[in-house]
Amino acid sequence: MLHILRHSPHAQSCFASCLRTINAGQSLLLIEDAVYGLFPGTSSRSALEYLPATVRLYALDVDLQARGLALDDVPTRATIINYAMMVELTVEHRKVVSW
Amino acid sequence: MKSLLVISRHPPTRRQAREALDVVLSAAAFGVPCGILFMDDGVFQLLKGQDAALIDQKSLAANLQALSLYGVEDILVCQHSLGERGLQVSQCILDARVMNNAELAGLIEHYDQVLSL
Repeated sequence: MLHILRHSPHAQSCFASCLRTINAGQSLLLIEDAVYGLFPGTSSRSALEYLPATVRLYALDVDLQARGLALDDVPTRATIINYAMMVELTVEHRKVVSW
Repeated sequence: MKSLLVISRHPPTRRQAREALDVVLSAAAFGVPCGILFMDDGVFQLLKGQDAALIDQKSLAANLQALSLYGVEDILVCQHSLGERGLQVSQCILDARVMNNAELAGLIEHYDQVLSL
């Protein structure tokens, strides 16, 4: 299953709700304001880093760069992807949940 | 004339971010003594190194730079909100004054009108 998260971790409860419901072996893609969750030194980043190792974590490149987060500052467990790869992800996964 | 404080609480991608700047710039253009406080996700507006064109949006940088040109007296940023987001005031594009919680309470008392967007 692919979870797509698009809201800032600070403004909406869906960031926390998504992290609570995600299961081992699933995928999580951060787009739009959800990429703020990867900023260094935040509790949301720790929460993402402590997800089970089998959860695959992705983030959209342009959304990171547009918001001023350098791609080098993204944690190593997150895979940076572009729009084309996002489409592939949604096709690969049998089910997609948009938060 | 009554003074106006605008509290800008939305990230730069939201229309409310631009609207808060429009309100404060318009008020300043009419000679209203005003200030803007960046709080909650609003502090992300100030972050250096953003490239809004990548997501087909217009950068807020020009509007932010206009604040001092229009005579907006107080350009303020909430210390707690910066800290929560792992940000330092040195990462801000504007020379914003950092306010702690006690100072914020005094600030809101000080202004005649307060608008939170």
